[in-house]
Amino acid sequence: MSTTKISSFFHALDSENPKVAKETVNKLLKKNPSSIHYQLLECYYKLKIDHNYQEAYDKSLDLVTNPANYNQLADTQVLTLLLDIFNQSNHANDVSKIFELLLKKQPFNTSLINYWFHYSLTNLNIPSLQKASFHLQKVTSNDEKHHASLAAAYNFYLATINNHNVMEKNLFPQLGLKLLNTVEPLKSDQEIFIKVKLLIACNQVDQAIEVIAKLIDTKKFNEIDITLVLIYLELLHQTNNYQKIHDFTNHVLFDQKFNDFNFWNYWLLAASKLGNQEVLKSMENLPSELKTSRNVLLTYINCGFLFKDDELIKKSVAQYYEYYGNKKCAYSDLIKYVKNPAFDTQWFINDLLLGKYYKDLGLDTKLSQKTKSTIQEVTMLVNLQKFKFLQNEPHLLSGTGSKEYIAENIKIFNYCYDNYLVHNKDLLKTDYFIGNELLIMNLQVELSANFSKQSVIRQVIILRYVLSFSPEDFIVKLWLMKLYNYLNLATLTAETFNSLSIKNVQIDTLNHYLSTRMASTFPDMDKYINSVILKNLKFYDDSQHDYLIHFLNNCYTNESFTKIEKYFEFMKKLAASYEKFYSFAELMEIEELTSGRTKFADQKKSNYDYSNLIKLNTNNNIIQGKKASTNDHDHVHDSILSFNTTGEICNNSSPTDYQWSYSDNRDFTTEWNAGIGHILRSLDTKLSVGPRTGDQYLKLKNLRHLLLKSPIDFDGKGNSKLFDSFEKILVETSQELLDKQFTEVERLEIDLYYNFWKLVRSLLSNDKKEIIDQQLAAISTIFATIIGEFGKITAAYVDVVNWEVAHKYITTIRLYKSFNKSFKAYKQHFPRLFNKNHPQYQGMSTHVIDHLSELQKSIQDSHNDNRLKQISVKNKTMLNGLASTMITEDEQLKKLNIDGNFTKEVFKVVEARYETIFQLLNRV
Amino acid sequence: MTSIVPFQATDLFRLNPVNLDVFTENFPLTFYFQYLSEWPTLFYKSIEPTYNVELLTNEFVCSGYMMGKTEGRKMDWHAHITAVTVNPAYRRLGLASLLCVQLEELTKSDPYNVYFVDLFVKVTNKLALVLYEKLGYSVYRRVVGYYGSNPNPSVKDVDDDTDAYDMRKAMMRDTKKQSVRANGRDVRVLPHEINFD
Repeated sequence: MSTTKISSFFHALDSENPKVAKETVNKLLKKNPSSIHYQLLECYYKLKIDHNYQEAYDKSLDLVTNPANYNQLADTQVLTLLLDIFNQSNHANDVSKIFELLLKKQPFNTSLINYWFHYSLTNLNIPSLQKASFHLQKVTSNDEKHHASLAAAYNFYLATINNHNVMEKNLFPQLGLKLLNTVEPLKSDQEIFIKVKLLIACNQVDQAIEVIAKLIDTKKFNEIDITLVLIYLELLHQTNNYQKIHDFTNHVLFDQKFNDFNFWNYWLLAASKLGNQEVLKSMENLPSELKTSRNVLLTYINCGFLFKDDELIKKSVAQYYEYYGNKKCAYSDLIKYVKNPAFDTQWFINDLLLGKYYKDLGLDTKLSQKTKSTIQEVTMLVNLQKFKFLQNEPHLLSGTGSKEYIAENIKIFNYCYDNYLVHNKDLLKTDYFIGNELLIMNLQVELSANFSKQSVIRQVIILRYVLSFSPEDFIVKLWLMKLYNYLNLATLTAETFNSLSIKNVQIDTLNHYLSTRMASTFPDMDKYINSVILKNLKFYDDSQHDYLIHFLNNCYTNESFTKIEKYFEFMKKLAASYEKFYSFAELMEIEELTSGRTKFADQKKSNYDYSNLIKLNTNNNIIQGKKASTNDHDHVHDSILSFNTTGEICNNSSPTDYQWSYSDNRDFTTEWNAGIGHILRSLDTKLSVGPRTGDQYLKLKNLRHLLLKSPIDFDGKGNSKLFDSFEKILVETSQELLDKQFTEVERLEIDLYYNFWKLVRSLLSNDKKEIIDQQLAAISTIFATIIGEFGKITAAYVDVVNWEVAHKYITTIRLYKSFNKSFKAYKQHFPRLFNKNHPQYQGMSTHVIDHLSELQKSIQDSHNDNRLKQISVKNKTMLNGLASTMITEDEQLKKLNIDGNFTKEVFKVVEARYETIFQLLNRV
Repeated sequence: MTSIVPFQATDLFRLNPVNLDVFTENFPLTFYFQYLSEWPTLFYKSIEPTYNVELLTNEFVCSGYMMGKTEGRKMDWHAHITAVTVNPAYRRLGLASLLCVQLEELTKSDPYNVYFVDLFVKVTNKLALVLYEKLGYSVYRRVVGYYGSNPNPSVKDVDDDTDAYDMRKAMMRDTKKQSVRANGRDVRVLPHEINFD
């Protein structure tokens, strides 16, 4: 076996050099045609380069079915290659069969079974893992038998919940229980956890309750794994066993003094179901330290709602406010009640907040006399403004009373700033200044009611001012990044992003601030992207996967079974991360734009991360992903009592659904925790860099990129299959959904390619003239729209290159470059179709070639007329005009006492960054 | 309205409201997973039910978490607070104390049954020092250069910016309270001297 040659084969594939790879494998096969390893290399080539998954799989299968090959296949290197082919050709389910075949010959080959276990773990292949661990416990010696059986039993549970086969779904948990019986008595809570999970999977809920009840009877409360306790309560709830819930929660809350809201909720639920009106008395008789706890006071409010007692609701809310109205959590704690139609909001705002706290406690006097305030008073004032915002949300967002509300917030902010922040020597670096939320609310109100470049820039100035005294306020920084992105000030976004020290898993959730439509808004490959985006992409390096698998394996070794299910889910979500593939797709677009003339392009041949990403991204399984998945919505229980007892991310889909579809782990919500406390969808859309991209968007973009590599032959092989996937997604996705994910120019681009490819297909299959004419007309319309839209961008009224202007401009230029290149490639590949003698040539010439020239001319004209320069001049004039107005006349800035020099400085920075954008656009 | 629930791997996708805080360390994934796999019950979070006004649904937010572990031999067998942190929106509610007390509850008896609980805190972090002292912790020793990068430190190089206090609280099992001392602030050690293997 030539190790060097084999390495060079893989290296050639990684560095996109298929010719060298093909030559290498041919040479190897010529030398030793019977080598299974070399034959598999050839299959791998078919898979990776020809995208001929079926042939690769069929040929590999032939090799497996011949027992004479088993000795060679038992070699781990050869076996791994074979398994990878099965995995990547959509036959991951057959992985187990290969091992089973090999084990027929050597049933006690422990190392082979161990390899099977680890291979399954590495590939997160649960069905295969289940089978491997079952085999493993059979061949394990006595010392390890107990441990191996537990792992196998647990994997029966995992395979059950990840299974769509009804028969297996019923059978597996029973087999798991049978296996557990052989290792009884179970020793630890982790072992009992497996039994409970298997019993539940067998619908033996009563037995599961019994198992945990036995544990509760014999052990101290603090010695029982809380996971089991929470399962116990959930099961009792499911089976309407309220007496037991009452007894148990009573014991935990009052005897064990475990003051936990989950337990209070269950306690109250049981009381209400049992018709136990004594519950109120119990609450009134609580020891004083417990009586004023937040959990108890909120339970008291829940009592009011549960018993539909309006007086009790008011009394309990007033009591809660007395103790916690001066805490930041008061708003999020009470929002659910305030929004409940049964709640007297007028009483709450007018009588309680404005009456009792604002007037009676003298907050209004303090505010008007500007006397020194405490953090509690400041917090109370901010909470009051939040509730006012909530109460008047529709009016304020549409502009009614927004000016007065903003002025009021500024007045309170100044008071808090002068009388609390400035003079408070005890304020620690770790303390956040709650007064900043007043300005976040102003931003939310102003940009909803009056969105303009002027108002966006005003908010930039205000937030930068806030950072001057609260440099670590991350919510302010998140908002600032949103504003910068709207204005297309990507380098300022990057600076802010860096100041947040975002790293590790945060990259997956927050990198979208940098990557969203970066290729079409700020494609500065050499500086900005190389320094930030590529650094971030290293997070997805495959080597990390190996370490994570090591710890997943440790979960089995250490018998930490309660963590394994979510561990798998995490790994699958990370492997299929939307952000990872999105960033990569953006980099590919920059490559198209710059025709590979970037530092990035120089690196790519040798860059390990890059080749890894190519491997990941060209994995057909991912592109043909079955189902989009997001983590937007948690499992919820829509009632006053919420039983989100585990606080886990619960998705409707099972973990296997993530396997080959994107998992959207992006965080779009953290910045909305401040101010109104929920997403204002309309404002969020206005500030976003285009529509929120989703599953179809990314799949179509990636497929388009892959289809650009070489002309499609429409012969049912290679990239014809990729085209079929492209067409299927486009046809099966509703127009509405596509519009929700694509900008106009992006849709035009996708449509242009689709119609062009369809045209080639029709020409190749000699379709009727009417069909071809229709396709040509469609292309013609698309071109006309693109050219028209491009003209608008460079029109006289444009004075700011916000994301939208840059996006249209850059996308059109990239579209022209890449389509032109692609068109030439098709001309060369199918000379017959593009020949002047072809009957359709005239149509092609009028509808495609002429339009391409027209588009080219439009782009050239915009350069020749120095239109960018003209826009740049207008941009400067606009900024200067805004600066002079804002420095001297802006009401909000004046009231906030923001120094004119500070404002001037911000404008200077913005102007300088726009200069960079114009330089960049000129280079495009 | 706080509940204590187990920390799970998927929670890592939703920690931004806690971990974006500049003073909260955002560890590499392997670090979190080591704790999940080795000390599954000592890694837990506090959650707060919230209400999504847009979707009209009940949800939860992570208000803090505790990463704990056990280590040491014989009389050194103890629980260690590796990280305890609270979402800025839920501070000043006693959540850090709640998370610490929970660790004591979990480790003071079976299956852990430790002699003491310990932690490291920057000597300048007054707020944390007050919190731990209130909870019954005392300084056991000053670790010179704990947060520094000096490859050859000396116990004479006392520096408030890089030194940590090793604080301890004796548990019931340590009946003679041998794991704590009164003059801990005067005892200085170097980072490599803290080794429980």
